[in-house]
Amino acid sequence: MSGRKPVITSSAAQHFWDECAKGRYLLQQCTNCQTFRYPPGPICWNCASDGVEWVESPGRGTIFTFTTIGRAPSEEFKPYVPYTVALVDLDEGPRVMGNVIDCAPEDISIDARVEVAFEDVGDAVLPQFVLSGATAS
Amino acid sequence: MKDKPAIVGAATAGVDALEDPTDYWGLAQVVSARAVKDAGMTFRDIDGVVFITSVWPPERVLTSAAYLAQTLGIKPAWAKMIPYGGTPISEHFMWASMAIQAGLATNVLCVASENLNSRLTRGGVVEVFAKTANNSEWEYPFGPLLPSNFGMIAQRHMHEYGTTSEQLATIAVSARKWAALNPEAGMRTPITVEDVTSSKMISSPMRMFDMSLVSDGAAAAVVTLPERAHDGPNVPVRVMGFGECVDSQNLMFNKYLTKMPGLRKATDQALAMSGLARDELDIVYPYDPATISVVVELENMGFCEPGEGGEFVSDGKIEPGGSFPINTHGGLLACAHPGPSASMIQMVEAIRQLRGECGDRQVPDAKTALCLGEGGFYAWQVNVLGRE
Repeated sequence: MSGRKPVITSSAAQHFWDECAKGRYLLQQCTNCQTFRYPPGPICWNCASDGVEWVESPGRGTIFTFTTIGRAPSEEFKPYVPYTVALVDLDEGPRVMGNVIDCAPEDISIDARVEVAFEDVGDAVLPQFVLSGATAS
Repeated sequence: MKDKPAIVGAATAGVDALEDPTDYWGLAQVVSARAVKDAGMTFRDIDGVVFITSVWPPERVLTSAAYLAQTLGIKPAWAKMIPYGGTPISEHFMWASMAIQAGLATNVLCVASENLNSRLTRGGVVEVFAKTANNSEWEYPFGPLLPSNFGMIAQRHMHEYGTTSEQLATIAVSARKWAALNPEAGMRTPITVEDVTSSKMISSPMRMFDMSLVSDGAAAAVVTLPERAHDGPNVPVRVMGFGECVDSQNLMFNKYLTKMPGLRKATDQALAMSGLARDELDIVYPYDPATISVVVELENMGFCEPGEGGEFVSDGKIEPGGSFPINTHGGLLACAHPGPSASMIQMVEAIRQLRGECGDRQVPDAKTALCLGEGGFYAWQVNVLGRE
């Protein structure tokens, strides 16, 4: 594994990441119980239905928790230090991981509102988050 | 207690002993021989082996209990493999006990070995865990370290309950105090709260001294039939009870981070099987890859109320001489964290305490101990050990 590319393991994940590259943030929604799910997959965790449709999400959510990294795990992350990893609760329900970008780490807090902003990191386009009201790069 | 499988041999190797081998299989073989000898047995007496996988290729691919049994000349053998990661790393005594009770084996050798520090170095371990312990599809691209998981737990605990970095630091300070009494411990130099809170920020709010060591080390034990408990040279330590439950594998799929219904369930299962109550335990061994782990585990095992963990650990009761001794070897924070063998090292320490062999760090007249192992993030296993 090198760079920041995800290791894609399913056709559903491939679709999610392909759409990210086009600037679209898609979530799967169960056609039986309407529960949203992430990561994408063939079966609803809530009702076990295989009925599914992709829905474009505005990508808005709330920071559940976060951590600011002072020591990069590997070469590919050194240029970004310090950077913040957050778990974000999307308004649709799923909890997702992303970096909170385009702000100082000290401006980030639990319960802050955020929205998706796509960041091209060279070998992947990542669905990141910016503080709501901030301008995406 | 008479009907419980008995641990009659125990040993460590390479935790801090420079004369021991530093290669993976060398460590596993040396520690196996020591545990069997400690039990007053030879390899010919052993008919079962439980072994845990290594962290990293090629050993991760090649490690198997069958290979270890073959190496030691143990045959025919009941051979059981525990995967490292996702499954709690302390399952040896549970599998050995179940095999003995099912009649599959009579004398089971339980082994854990790893040479993380020699093979990968600290920096290498940091990189390997970032790329393997985290989900490679949904977490890795965002660059979390393994310590980031603990940072996110701690951030949440501080937000919900007002827990402070100083309270967490007292756990690292206490671990060093225990380690100073343990000739095998990797970090025996005393530190202060200020040393911890001014150490390098790794993944906020977790600093370097909030995190465990990276070590080599192996540990092993021999479990036998209940009726053979007194056949060997040692005070037998019984596998009184065990429980196991998973809350999650990756934290992004965990609803609370600070609340772990699965850990409570595993603890209750182990205590119910053992017939012991929480206040009848003499020593508790939380799994401590990070200071925050001790706080959330003590709360969720039911030793203090949710949110009170920070206060609970910071008044001296967990230190040597305190009323609630924990991790008497120094834990993962100050004794050793060799990945898959961390829990067996911890359990061998518990066995030595219950036998009364621990010298300056001996908890007076310790008869019972609870040991917690974790896999991934929040896959739990609890063992309750005791002696007559």
